[in-house]
Formats: sequence, C-alpha cells, structure tokens
Amino acid sequence: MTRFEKLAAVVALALALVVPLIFDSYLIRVAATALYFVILATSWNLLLGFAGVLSFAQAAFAAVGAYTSGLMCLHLGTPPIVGVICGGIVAAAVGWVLARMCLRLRGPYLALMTIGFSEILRLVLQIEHEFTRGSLGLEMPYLFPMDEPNHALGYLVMLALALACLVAIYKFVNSEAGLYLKAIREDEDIAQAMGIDTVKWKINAFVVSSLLAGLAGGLFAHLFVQVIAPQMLLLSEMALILAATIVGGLGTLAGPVIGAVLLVVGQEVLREISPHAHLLLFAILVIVVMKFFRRGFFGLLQDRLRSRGLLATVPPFTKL
Amino acid sequence: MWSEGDYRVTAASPIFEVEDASLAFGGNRALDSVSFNMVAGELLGLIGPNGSGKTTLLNAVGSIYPLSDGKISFERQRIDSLSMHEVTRAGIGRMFQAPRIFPHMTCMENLLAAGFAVREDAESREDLIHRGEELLTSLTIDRFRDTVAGSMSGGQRMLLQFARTLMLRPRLLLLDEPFGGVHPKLIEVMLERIRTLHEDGLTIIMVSHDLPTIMGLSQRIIALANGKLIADGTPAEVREDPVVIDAYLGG
Repeated sequence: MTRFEKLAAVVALALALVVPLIFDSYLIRVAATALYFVILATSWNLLLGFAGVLSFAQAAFAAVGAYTSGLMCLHLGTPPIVGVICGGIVAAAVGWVLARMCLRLRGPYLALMTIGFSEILRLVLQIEHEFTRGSLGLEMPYLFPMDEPNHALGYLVMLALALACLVAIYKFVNSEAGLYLKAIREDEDIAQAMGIDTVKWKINAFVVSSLLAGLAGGLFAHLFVQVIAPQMLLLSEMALILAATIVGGLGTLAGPVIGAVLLVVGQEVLREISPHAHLLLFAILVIVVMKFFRRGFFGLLQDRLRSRGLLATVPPFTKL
Repeated sequence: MWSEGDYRVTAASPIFEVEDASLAFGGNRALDSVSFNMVAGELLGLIGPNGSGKTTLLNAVGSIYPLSDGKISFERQRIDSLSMHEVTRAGIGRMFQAPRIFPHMTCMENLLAAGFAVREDAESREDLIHRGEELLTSLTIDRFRDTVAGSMSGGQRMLLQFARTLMLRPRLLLLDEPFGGVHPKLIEVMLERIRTLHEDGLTIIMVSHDLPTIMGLSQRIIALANGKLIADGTPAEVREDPVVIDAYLGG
C-alpha cells in the first residue's frame, strides 16, 4: 500500500467511527444499513468482479443467515450470537451445495440457476409459515441481552464485521487464490489449460462469499431489523447489491464500499418522493456506468490517482 | 531450484504415445486413427494443410476435446480421460495459436497464475517470481513485468504466452503456430529459446505453416491430411513424399 492508500483508509475509518457520535438514531440506522450493503456488495464483488461468476443469490444467502439464526432462537432458544455464527456456517454450506450443482455451468445458465434458487427459497419461507412464520415475519431478538436496542453499539458491531470482511477479501485476492480467480474471469479455458482447477476455485470463492453474506444477514437482522420476512429475498434487494458494486467499481476493493454508501444514502433521500424511486435511480446509474465508464466511480478515480503516483501500480502479491 | 538441465532424460522408450486416436464432430472425422510415438527429447514437427487436424490433435492431447476412440499416454499414464488442468499438471504445456493471455492482469500475474497452479510445495512465491523474471528477460520482455498484458502488441503477447507456458515447467511442450504474427526479430528470440530447450532434452511437438523453419528445426516430421496421418519421417523424406506433395498441392 502507498502512503496515500494508507491515509485514505485511516480517514475513511475515522469518518466511520465519528458517525455514532454526531448522528441521531435514525441516521445511525441508515449508516448501519450502508455497512450491511458494503458487506454484501464486497462479498458479491468477489464473485463477479474477481472470478467473473454472475450470481443473483447474494441477498438469498443473507436471508439464509438471518433465517437460520431467527429460527434457532424461536425453536431452540439459542442465544442470538450463537445463531449468527450458525447462520454464517449454514449459508456457507448451502453456498457449497449450490456451487457444486451449478458452477460447472457458465454464464447465463449459472445466473438463471441462482435466480431460481433465490426464488424457490423465498417461496418456501413464505409458504411454510407454520415453521417460518411466513409473511407475518419472524421475530429477531436483539443481539445483546438489553431491554432497548442500542443503535450506536449495533453500528459499531456492523462496522467491525465490515472491516473484517474487507481485510479477509483483501487477503484472499492478494494471494494465489486471487490470481486463479482473475485468470478464471479473464479466460476460463486458458485458466484450466494453465493447470488451474477452475471449478474448485469458483466453489471456494462462492463459499467465502456466502459465508460473509450469511454472517451479515444474521447480524444486521438481530441488530436493526427485529422482524424479518421473505421480502428480504426479493430481486430488488439483489438490485441494490448489484448496482452498488457496478456503480462503485467491479473488481476493486474500494468500489463496492463507495457504491454501497452512495446508493443507500440515495435510497434514503429518494424515499420521500416515492418508496420505489430508488430503483429508478439504480437502473439509470447502472446503464450510465455500463455505457460510459465500465470501471465505475472508483475506476474513474483510480486512473487520476494512478497517474499522480498515489495508488500502487504493481499488485502487491507480485512484488518481491 | 529450476535449471535448464532438468529436462534431460536418458530413457529411450517412448514417453508419449498416441494410439488409434479418433475424434468425430457429428459426421465429420477430424482425427481418423492417428498413431505415433515419441521418445524423450524429440522435436517433432506437425504439418498439414488447413483443416487437416493439427490443432484438433493438440486439443485432443490437452483434453480440450475428448477422443471418440483410441488412447493417449504420457510417461506411461493414460491422459485422454483427464480434465484439462490435470493434463497440464501431468507435465504437458500448451501454447495456443492465438495469444490468449489474461489481458487485465500484469505480465508477472500471468506468469504466477500458471506457476502457482502447478508448483511443487518446495517452490516459494519468491522462487516463482525469480523464475518468471528470468523467463521475461530471456524473451526480451522484462520491461513489461508490471504492465497490463492487454496493452502489449500481438508479438509481445505471443512471447508472454510462451513464457507463461514455460512457467508450467512442461516435460512435453505443444507449440501451435508459435510464430504467427510475430515480428521476425522476435521469432529469432523464440527460435533460440526453442533450440535451447530442445538441446536441454525437452520433448516438443510444434505445429507450423512455416515449412522452411519447421523442416530446419525438427528431426522428424509427421504430416496430417483430412484427419489421417499420411507421412512420418525425417524432414528430407517427408519433403519428397508424393502423398504429402499431393495433399499440399492437390488440395
């Protein structure tokens, strides 16, 4: 990392830490929502941005995490923190099974399969209401044994998970795994001809990505949602994840962070106009980005900063 | 550490065997009972008119297409039912006709992706980087070490692809038209490297339309036409073979 990159990371972290001190409870909740989508977009970016795998199931994996935890609390009486961890593990396991089934497929077939999975799961959660409480909603007890939810504390927990997620993804993509994933994204046949077990590495990326989404889903539900419903699997949730990553900058570490913050704030501002106005904004932004600057806002910024020598030009993993 | 001498093999028994290999696409027999053997250290030229099955044969060896019939073995191991990455790990390195490098990755990333995928545990990241740097230097493209590969010229990409294939440390090297679109000066660099590898005992199959070059380089030539093996012999024998002349000129 260059000095500028370190400085930017410290400033961003400082700004994030100031949020609970200066904002009211409502705005803290908005900021926590942004962090939730930072995690989902960052983990989804590992799939599309690094491995070139297009999945529409990221919101579904967050739901797997949240529902696992909520159902364990309801039916088994486990403490929420245990539920969150189990939720992450179950999401990773489901991710592994789904990946085993469909990662031999490529392109549109894979994408269709993940949409199918997501929709089936949503319908099952809705129909099996005796077990899942369906559209009535599943109550999520607060993460900590407290009478009143503390949004500032909840925000800090989400921030910790977001940081852990960013560090984990950074380490993952700056290792041999990152080389394999990028090679798969660039040319899957050649990657295989170069000795890379492409199916195995796509499955690995899928499992890591689902694990992070599952943890985020459970944690956010216990801290800020209180009652979850199958609506969290609607494709409009997935649209936010997709738009945030593409608008911010696919295949970069900072892109999904910038995109998620931008779009969640945009969503809140537009909520006053109409509850669905934000979807229009996302659609327009995605079209504009895909048409004019495919590498997203961070991609634009990257070129400027690189030409001034502020960003590293040599991937750290290839340096001696 | 890796050294040029590691390729030297003394055994004279065949290390690469193709037996009755056939491959059909629908009704079209792209390969028709092709059989030949190679001993270690041989440099074999593979020639034939367009559509004769040269690339298809290499694709069959690399498990890109499964054989419909017959078998292929390398170092006494059947490789025709392995998947692509397993064939590579078994010691067969393939260079493609079009320079299919990883365009958004730097040259060093291109090399390391291949190096890591087949590395033995003893080789560290630093070893691989050193080996990559040596290869880039010997192929005169070391100044592009940290350049994104997609910004290089066609000829330079070919050299990068060559370096990436050598990162695999193959014991059998498959070269498909390695000089296509490459500047004459760079061809000289590649030829020099191929000669060195051959002298060090690496087994090589090379496909080329450049008959003078391939005849000058190889000790043995096999010729394909319509998926059939029509000649197998020294360059002089194959050059005089009426069947080969007919296949090339008679269309």
